[in-house]
Amino acid sequence: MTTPVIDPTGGVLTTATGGMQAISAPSEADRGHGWVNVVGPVFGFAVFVGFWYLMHYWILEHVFDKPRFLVTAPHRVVDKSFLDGATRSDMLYALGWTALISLIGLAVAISIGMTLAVVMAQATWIERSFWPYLIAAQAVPILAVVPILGNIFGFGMGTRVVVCVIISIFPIVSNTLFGLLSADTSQHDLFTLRGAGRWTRLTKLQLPAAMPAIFTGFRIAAGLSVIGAVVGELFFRRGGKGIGILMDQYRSRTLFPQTYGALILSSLLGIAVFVFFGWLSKLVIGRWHESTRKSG
Amino acid sequence: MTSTTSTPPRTTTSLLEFSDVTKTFPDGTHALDPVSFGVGAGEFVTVVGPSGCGKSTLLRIASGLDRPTTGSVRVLPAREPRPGKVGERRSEGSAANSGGAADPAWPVGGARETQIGYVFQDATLLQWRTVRRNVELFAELANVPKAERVRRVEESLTLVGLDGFASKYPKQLSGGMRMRASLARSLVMDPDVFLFDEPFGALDEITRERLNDELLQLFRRQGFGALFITHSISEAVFLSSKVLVMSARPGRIVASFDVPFGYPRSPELRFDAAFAAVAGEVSHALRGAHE
Repeated sequence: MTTPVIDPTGGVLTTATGGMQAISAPSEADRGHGWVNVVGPVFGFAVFVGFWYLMHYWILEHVFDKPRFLVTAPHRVVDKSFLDGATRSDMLYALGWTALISLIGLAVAISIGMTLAVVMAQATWIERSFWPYLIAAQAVPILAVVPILGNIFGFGMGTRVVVCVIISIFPIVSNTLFGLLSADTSQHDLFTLRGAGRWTRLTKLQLPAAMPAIFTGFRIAAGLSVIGAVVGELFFRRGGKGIGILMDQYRSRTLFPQTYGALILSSLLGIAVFVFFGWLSKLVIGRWHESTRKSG
Repeated sequence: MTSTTSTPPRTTTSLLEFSDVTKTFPDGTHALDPVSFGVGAGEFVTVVGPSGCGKSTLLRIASGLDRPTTGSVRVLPAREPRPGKVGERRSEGSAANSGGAADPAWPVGGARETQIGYVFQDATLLQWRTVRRNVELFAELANVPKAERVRRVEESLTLVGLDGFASKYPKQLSGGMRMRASLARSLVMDPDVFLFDEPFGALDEITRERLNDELLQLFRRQGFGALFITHSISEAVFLSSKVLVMSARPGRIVASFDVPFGYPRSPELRFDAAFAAVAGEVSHALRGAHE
């Protein structure tokens, strides 16, 4: 099988890198000047915080006819969650657990997902046989599955990892597979000319060609894995006490500022892993690949 | 293969011989009518013809990427002719097995005597490898020892004038430089026969002419036999010792011209009246081929 078959239903979030790219591809500098890159995000953040205050002071009461405290003012969230020493260390400790679970889940998803993609890239019939289950894994309502998984595997750490794997494996498989099949026919010809076998083709052609797509998959999967870990924690009370468990406890005790604080922290964790993989991608493939411009 | 600096004497017989080669693709496209010709050592044969006349198919068959439907292509040992060591690409009907690379009579790896170089229409460099690592590719796949590989890579880079660009990535190179890198990649294997599939078609006129001049120097120096495909009549006449004109699909050879100029050729030859006369004849035959 030397002809790349690109499955348009692959849910792929990156474009293929053809053998020949225009020399005049825009460089990083063309995308904007330094100050715009600072002012933009600062402005966006100001709008975000401004809208939050507006919710708190006006919209909630006048539009939804609800008490203000349901959306705590930002400064109170910071005060109660991050400036209060005891709460802060509770939260950071819980965040550590969540991070650990999601990273283990991500590592498992990456190993299984990439292996699966390599196997699927070997023949179209294998690819077709696996797709339905992968799409099912992505489409399944995870909240409904979690209690079932709990009954089977118990409500401990292991099951939380399983939830992370289920939720994050799809983008890894689909992006890796797309990447593996993205090598040009003419590039394959180079290897055919010298009678290269499958293994040589995989390691010297398909995997390197797939790196940009694989990293895109990692980035998406990392964010999903954090979500998986938090969702898992909302159901499972055994094992390490993660940020999801803490969040649920704050909510049930109507500690709204702390609930928002925990929410913000778990989002920051998601952003951190996303940025980390963006940085890693730039480090590994930035020298030869165009589209790793500052987007992470 | 010894080194690219001292070229051993080669025999004057055909290195590459097409005998009644036809090609019909599985979808029914009849690409080639019986085609027969040979490329000898030190011979530069160019094929011109209308678009889609099966010129590229010719090269794919010569290189082993494709098989002829009927007829055969023989690749003869260049330096140490040994009976029984002749690589032959048999037609699909007579082939015992269907896998192109697995045919024992046609070992595509490093085992066969005659090395075939192949320069594609575009440079087909691996974009994640530097120029040096790209040039190394064929030698690496042929399991040439690292030290020997490095030596040959440096030599090839010098031959194509890419010394200062070894650490660049393909995206940092101009179109002409990428073609040079692509050329160097095949040069590393010191090919006896060099196949060129419209390598300079996408380049501007000036770059193209300069690369033509340099290619002829390489041809003289390395002494390979060349099979070259182009759309450009002047390029064909300038490079070749023989120009073959192919008809529209299904392609067959309708005319053959021996170019009466010796090597080396100076760039000024392009402005010579005799040159224009040959180009005119080829052009006339090509017009006929279109009908």
